[in-house]
Amino acid sequence: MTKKFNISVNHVTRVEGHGNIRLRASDGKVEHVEWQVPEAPRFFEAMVRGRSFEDIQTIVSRICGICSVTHSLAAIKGIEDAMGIKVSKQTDKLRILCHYGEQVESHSLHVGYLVAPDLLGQKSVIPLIESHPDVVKTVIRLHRLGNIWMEIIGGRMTHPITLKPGGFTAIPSEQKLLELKKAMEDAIPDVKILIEVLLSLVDKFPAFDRDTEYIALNHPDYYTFYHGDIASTDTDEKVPVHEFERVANEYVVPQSTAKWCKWHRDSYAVGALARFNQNAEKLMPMAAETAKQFGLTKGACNPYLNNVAQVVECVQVVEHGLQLIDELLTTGLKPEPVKVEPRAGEGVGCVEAPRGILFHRYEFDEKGLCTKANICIPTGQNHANIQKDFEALAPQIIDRPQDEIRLLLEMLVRSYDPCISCSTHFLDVEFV
Amino acid sequence: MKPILIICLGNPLMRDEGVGIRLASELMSYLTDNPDVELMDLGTGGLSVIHAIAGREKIIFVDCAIMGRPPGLIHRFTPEQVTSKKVRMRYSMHEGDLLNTIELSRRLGECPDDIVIFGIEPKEIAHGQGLTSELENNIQQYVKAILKEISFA
Repeated sequence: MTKKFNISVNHVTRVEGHGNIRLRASDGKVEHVEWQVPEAPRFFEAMVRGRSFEDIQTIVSRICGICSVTHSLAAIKGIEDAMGIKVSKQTDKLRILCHYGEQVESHSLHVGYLVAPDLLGQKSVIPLIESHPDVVKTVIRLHRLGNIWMEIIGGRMTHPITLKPGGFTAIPSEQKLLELKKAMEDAIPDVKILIEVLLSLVDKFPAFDRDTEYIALNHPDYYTFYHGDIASTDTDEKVPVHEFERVANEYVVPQSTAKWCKWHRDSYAVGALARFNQNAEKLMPMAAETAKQFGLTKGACNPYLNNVAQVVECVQVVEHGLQLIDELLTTGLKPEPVKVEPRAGEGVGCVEAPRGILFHRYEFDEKGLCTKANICIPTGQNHANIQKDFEALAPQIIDRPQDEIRLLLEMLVRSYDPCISCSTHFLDVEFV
Repeated sequence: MKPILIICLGNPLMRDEGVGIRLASELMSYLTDNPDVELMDLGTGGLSVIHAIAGREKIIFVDCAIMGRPPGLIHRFTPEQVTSKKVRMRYSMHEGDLLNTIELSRRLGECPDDIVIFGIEPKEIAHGQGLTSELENNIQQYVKAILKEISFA
């Protein structure tokens, strides 16, 4: 008798694209498996056209509530590149510090709210409060740290207002930086709890290795989220960010309305694991020790381990963030008035979002009005790789119960920490 | 920490979905230097709500809400009066649901008892800036309704 089944997981929203999983199997064989992908947010590119360079950051910071610092910084770097603006060391350090706050917030939330329930056998974080209250409270505290962090440097919890081309509209006081330092030091035990929790559960990730091309920023001197060139694990070549289109070669596939990306292979992966695979030897001591605890080494190619790399990065940014604060306090903070004279030009900004490398390209006329924009988001770059993972993973797990197959495919998507439905959070209610 | 907090939510790049953020800028002039009321634009920050509300006496949310009412209508309700119709896949922390966040806060024992939501029915949620006329023409009415909640008007 032929045994057939279909698995279909639908993501339904009223506005955004979709992120659906489709699997069709017959007689223990996968006939079809597909990751149906959501559209990239191309519409923002049209929104910034015709706008002054001074308004771009405000607009792009609203693309996403979780990556708002990242989008702000990518835009600012692109504008500065186009207009030949150099920033001070103080600005550079404060920006990196602010960006680290977003990494902590995003990573701790992802691991604690989305991944932990899978590993602890719960459907969401709500029942987890009853079954594992300490885990949830730890994650909430880490998220709170990220919020305080971004508020002190970026001027508010989300959608920062102090980050501008050329520098900062307001800088934190030394007192505020000391407060942040204390909050970070106080959070180290929480980071350790997160590590312990994930260590106790890491065996629950499927042993699924698939040789993959990983792409991330690379810097010769340090583990980078902000400076450097684009690098692939497939070659030694380092590509300047200005040539990012040479890396993120977009192509069209019949199954998707969104474009896929490839460089040396049919797909590549970006995100925490990609950054780890590029920069692991430059981790700071505590972060390196954390990677060692998990047995995570350069060359890891199990996509589920992106979650582990995120925890390693939480340690890294707290550790390096503390060092940056000390450096800023040693040199002393001073207000630096920002005056930018617009000029015609084009430029690229590249920053590592929590979920992977992000590119912004802009062109401006002589008045500083934007004439063209192109945004290439990490989630869009990962879609093809999720599909390739599906094609390799599904045959390996097809004999398992359907619920388990479904969960493992969902967990695979989640491990990439995709940005789906990020631009709207409206209420959709019925009265009871 | 001020006892009353007004949290405006939404995305000004998604037409009527941004009505909360528009109202944040309208309300600001009424609330500057108010000793009891704080105003926050939390955009699409999702779970940041949980930290903002902890320890307050009263929370007023202002957000776009699909309620099955005529576009432009403002409706005052409490979290207990509604259930969410949102389907969430948990693929991403980017899926926000305010009611879920309030529930999480409650279970953590941090949530104020007094929560009011001002929902405004959208005409159009789509990529673009600016509100539809159905909402734009009612802005002052929304401001009055919200200020009345804190006995301001």
